[in-house]
Amino acid sequence: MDFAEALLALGVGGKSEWETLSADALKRAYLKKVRAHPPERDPEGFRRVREAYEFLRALEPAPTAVRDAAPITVDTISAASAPPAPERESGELELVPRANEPKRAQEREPTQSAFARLQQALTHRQYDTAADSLLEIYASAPLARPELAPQLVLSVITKQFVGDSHDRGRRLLSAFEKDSVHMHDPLSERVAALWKLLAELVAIPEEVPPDAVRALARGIESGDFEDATEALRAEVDERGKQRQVELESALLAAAPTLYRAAWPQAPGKSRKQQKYEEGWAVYMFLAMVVATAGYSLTLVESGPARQARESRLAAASASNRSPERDSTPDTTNGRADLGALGPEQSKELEAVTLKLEKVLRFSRCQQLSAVWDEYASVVRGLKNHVPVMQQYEEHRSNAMTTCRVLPNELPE
Amino acid sequence: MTMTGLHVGIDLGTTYSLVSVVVDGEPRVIKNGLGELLTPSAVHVAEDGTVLVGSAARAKAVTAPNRTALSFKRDMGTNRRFELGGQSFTPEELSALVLQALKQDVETEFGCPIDEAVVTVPAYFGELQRRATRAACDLAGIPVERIINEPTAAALAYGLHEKERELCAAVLDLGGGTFDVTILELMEGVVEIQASAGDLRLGGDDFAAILAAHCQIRLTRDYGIGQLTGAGRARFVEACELAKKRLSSEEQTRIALPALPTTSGTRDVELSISRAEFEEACLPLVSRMTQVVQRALRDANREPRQIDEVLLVGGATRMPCVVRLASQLFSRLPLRVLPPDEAVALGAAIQVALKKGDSAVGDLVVTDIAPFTLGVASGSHRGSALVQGLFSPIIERGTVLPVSRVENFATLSDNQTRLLLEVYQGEHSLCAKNQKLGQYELNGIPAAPAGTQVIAVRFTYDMNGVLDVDATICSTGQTDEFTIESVPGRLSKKELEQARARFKRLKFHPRDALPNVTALARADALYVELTGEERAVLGGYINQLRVALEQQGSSQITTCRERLLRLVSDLDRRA
Repeated sequence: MDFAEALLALGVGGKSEWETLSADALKRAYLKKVRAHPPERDPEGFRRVREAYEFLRALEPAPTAVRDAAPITVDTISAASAPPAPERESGELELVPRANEPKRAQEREPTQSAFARLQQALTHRQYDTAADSLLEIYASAPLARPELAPQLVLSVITKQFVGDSHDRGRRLLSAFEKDSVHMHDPLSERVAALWKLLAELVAIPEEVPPDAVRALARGIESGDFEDATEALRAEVDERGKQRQVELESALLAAAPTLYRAAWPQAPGKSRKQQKYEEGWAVYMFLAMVVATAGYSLTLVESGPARQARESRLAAASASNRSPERDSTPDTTNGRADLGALGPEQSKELEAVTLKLEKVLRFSRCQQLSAVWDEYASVVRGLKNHVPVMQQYEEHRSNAMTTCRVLPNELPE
Repeated sequence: MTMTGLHVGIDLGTTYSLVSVVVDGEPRVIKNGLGELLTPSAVHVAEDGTVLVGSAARAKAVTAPNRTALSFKRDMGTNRRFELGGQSFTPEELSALVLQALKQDVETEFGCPIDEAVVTVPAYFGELQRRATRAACDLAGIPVERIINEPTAAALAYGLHEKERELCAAVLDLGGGTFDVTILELMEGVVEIQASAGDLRLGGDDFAAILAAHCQIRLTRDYGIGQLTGAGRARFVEACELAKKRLSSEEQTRIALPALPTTSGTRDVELSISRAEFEEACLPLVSRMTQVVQRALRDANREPRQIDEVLLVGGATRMPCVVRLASQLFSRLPLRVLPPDEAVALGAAIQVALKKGDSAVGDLVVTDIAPFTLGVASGSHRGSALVQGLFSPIIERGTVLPVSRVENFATLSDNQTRLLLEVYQGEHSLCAKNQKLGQYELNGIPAAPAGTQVIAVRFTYDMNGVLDVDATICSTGQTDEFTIESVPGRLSKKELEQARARFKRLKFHPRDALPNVTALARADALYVELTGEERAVLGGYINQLRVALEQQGSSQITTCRERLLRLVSDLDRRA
């Protein structure tokens, strides 16, 4: 069962209709089909409908929906999860700083004007100014500024590529990635997928013509890669076979997902068929991300670990196998010699344990290795803590029982 | 309603069984030969080897407890045997006898044979018990179309009445022997079962047993009477059962047992029990019920306040403490529109009509779930050690049926050519703690290094809760289908034939003699309870009927029987 089949089985008209469908409406569509194929009289039909429903229910809303976030306003900057602000001298700021954490003197605090400019720029849809303000905010002390909604930042980055300010886009993305260690909440799958696509976009080498890159950025925004396909096709037609091989291998290596979404298909396929495949490729990718990685794309890790896993994931999705089990987790954020748990560690541990237990409870064995690595990297910092280690052993044997694989020993 | 064959729903209960039919789009319960809606699930073997089923047998439980079997549904799927008057019966055979009686009743009523039947079982019945139920139907010669869960049936009975509404409901089914909780959602005309939980050994019988234990203590304390045995115990338990029922409507009740046989001669005994006393004794049972309800809510991922309606079915839900528990847990008054005894049977009849596409019933669709996790035993290397007997789930509890799931397994050792596939049911991570359903030896795996040969195991679980297993060796494409054999409660074809033959040899009372036998049995049971003048009068009436039966004058028999029954019910009411 793939995405298009699932939509068909539930009688959902198409991608656009699905995007606007709430969970409740999806369920109603499913139940209507159940009435048409009662398990009593049509068990085969029912099984198909059920499978389609489970498939679609597992997907989050559409990944490309950057434009869903528009018009971007400062309201989307999430401050809700931050602790309540204590009295501050410059406290007119609406945005709530992370207050309980100590400020580091050597880092600049963001000026109020940067936020004000960001707000104004977003209201007037001046994304260049917005990007500059964001860069300024990122340059300030990370613990003294409010959390920025990741989706907002990623949307602004996409706009940079659409508007041909590639360099600024790159800088902002790397600032965003650096800052990601400070984020507490796990990313939604939608943001994770968007991030992944942007990372691919940035990785595209110089030799790919700028129009094509711009078209790809637009594709990420709208979910429609037809322009990008056209741009690539034009380039290939103009420069010939040699160029086609070059382009194809460059794209495939740097941006496999975008490649699959936008690369002109081999001749002989009907135009309709081709368009249909282009349109859905990204959705298919998302389904794969959800299935293989689940909730593992969180921001509690540092950049290198994420990149390592992303490349692993990409490899896995390309070869359609589950990721290697024995890849070593990063060691950059290991915490040593802690007898007791600090609030931050216990929060981190709790979050990752919850994730692991979820995986085990539902026997999502494909996701186990990714989540396990993450879990192990947190536990490694807490080796002296006896209850944690006991729990670790328990989970380890659970994991073995549930998924019939032996998770790695705690790395030294 | 076609005349070519009957489509019936059967509620094979622990204490009572019912049969129902959809007539003109309305389900209704069919009365048995004695005019009762509820046929007691009881079997008695008389001294001359004649088999009695139903009310007559139930009445004999008082006068001849060691020749009478009750509550055998609880032992379905086990190896337990009931010894009745020198004959040995399995629980399936006893259930089959009850089913046979129901079959005769409904076939006499409509004058045509049963064409298709839907039989209900508690949602928490596992594979073995479901198979045993099916075997009982085979024995009784009832063609079972479908085995459905009792709460599902009850919901169907209610769903029909509330088709216009969309809601989430909890069905609490406290029968004679089992307690089931089901969370379901009614939406767009589809009934979606979201979770089922249950306790196989918690029912009205247990409340009666607790009352009996409580009263036994009182007997010892107030009268110095030790543990009762034999007939004395049977009368005492029966009296407690009746007292339990009375306590549902009265605050205080009296148990009077004149001339109760005890180890130290006969004694006249009288106890007074209050409802508060009874409910306090039942607290442990109530807390077990609470746990089951909470488990069901957890499985359905719902809070009690998200439940729009609470349905109470099963005769034992008449007890005020059960109603109170339901109200407290869900903060709302439970719904009891349909008679709690009949709801399940009515639902079963609706189910069979649905299956037949009877348009008069409307098109209510039901989706059901697997009540247990099903899986196979697997092993794993842990360092150099090999760990075996791990439970690898294939179909998770709560999966919507029908379903077919495949899991891949690999060989554990080099050049492994055989594999023992063991199928288990349960929720524990170790197979030893789960229930084994069967095993199969898969041969013909090509010799290769460990872990390289992959075997795809497919479980197909259909709407009847019946499991089919097949295993495919991926490298050769060889597929073996697997039938579960040699487990308790399953009858082989040969055994079935033998049991059928034995059934034919059993002696039954002629059907038209049943009212007389039942009337006499009831009168006899009452006779031992009475003293003085009442006893003498009843004795006279009983003798008149016996004389009439000897002389075989049919009109006189009817007159005497009617008079006797009137007297019995009068005296019953006075007690």
